[in-house]
Amino acid sequence: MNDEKLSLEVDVLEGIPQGRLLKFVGDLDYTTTTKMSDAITKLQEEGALYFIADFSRLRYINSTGLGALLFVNTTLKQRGGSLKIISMSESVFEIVEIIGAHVILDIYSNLEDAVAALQKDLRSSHAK
Amino acid sequence: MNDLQISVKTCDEEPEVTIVGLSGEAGLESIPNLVDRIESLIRDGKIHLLVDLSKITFLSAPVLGALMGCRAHLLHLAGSISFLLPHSELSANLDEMGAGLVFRYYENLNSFLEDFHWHYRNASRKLSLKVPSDCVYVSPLRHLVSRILLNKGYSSRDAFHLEMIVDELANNAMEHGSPEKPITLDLLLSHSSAVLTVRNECLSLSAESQKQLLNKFENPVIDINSSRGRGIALVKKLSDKVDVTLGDDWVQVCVSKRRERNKR
Repeated sequence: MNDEKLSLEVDVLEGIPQGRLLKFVGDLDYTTTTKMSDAITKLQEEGALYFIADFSRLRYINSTGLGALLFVNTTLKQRGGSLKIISMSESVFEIVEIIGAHVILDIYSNLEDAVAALQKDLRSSHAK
Repeated sequence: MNDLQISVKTCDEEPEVTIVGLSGEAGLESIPNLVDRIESLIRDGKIHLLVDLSKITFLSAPVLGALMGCRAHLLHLAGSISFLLPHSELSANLDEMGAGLVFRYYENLNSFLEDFHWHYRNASRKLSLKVPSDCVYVSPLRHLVSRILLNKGYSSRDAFHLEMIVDELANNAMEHGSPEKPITLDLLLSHSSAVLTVRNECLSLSAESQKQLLNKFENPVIDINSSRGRGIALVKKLSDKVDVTLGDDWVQVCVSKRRERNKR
C-alpha cells in the first residue's frame, strides 16, 4: 500500500571508491523503513561502504525511520564505513534534534561539504 | 447610469455581522459614499462586514481598491470584511483584479457563517475514525490529518507536528492493541487548538502493566542506542498536553496542541 511512499535513488560518488550517493524521496516511516534498510544492506553486500544520504527530498521521518537510520549509521561505523547526511529540511531536522540524533549523525548542509569531510576521513584513515 | 445603492442591516443569524448590500454600478464616483458608510459602521463598532455583491452589475478596480483600504482598517481592529458573491461571472472579474488574494468570497450566507464561526467564535470540527489495526493505514491517516489542518489554516509546522503525533500514537496503539480490534481516532479541531485522542483495546492490563505504561508517558526516556521508546518522547515534545487514561483492557491517549500563530 505504501511502497511508493519512499524511493531511493542511488548514484556513484565520484572520486570515492566504495562511495554511494543515496537520494531519499518521500517519507521514511514504519512502512518504508525496511525498504531503506534492505537497499542499504544490498549496497553494502555489493561492496559499498561510504554513503552520503541526500535528504533534500525526504519530506518526513518518524521515530521508526530514525531508529533504522541510527542502526545503519552504527553498523557502517563498525565496519569502518560511514554515513553522512546532507540537505536535511527544517522539519526533519527538528525531529532529529528532539531525539538527540543530531549529535550522533554526521549532518552537512550540502554535498560538497560532505564529500570534503569524507575525503578527509579517508586520508586520515589511510595515514594511520 | 445605474448609481450604486447601499443598504445596511444586521445579520439575523449572527448579530456581530453587518451585511452591506450593494446594488447597481460601483464606479469611481461611488467611492466617497461607500467609504463613508463603511467608516461610519466601523465607528459604530460594526467590525465584521459581509458585503453582498449579488445585485452588483459592475464593480470597478478603484472601488475594489477602496474596499481594500477599509479591509486594512478592519483588520487593524481585529475585524473582517468578506464578499457574498453568488454569481460566478463577477467572481471571475474580481479574480482578474486580484481580489481573491485579499478577500474571501462566499456563495451563500450559510457558508460564510460556518467560516465566521470557525474564525471568530472558536467553533470546532470533529473527525472520528475507526481504523483496522494494520500499520498500512497509518500513513494515509497521518496524511489525512495533516491535510485537514492545512486546509483549516494551520501552519505547515503545526500540520507536520500533528502528522507525527498521529503516526506515533497510531503505530503505538496498533503495536500494543488487539490485532483484531480497530483503533479509534478522534480529532477535535478549532481555530485555536487541536485535540487528538487515540484509543486501542488490548488484553487485560495488570495493575503493574498499567503503572509501567503510565510511567512511560510521564517520564519518557530517549536512549539513543536503543531502537525503541522514541515515539512517546516525540509526542510529548511536540504536544502541549498529553493525558493517558487506562482501563482494564483499553488505553486512551489524548493530546492537545495549541495552534501556532502567524507562521504560515
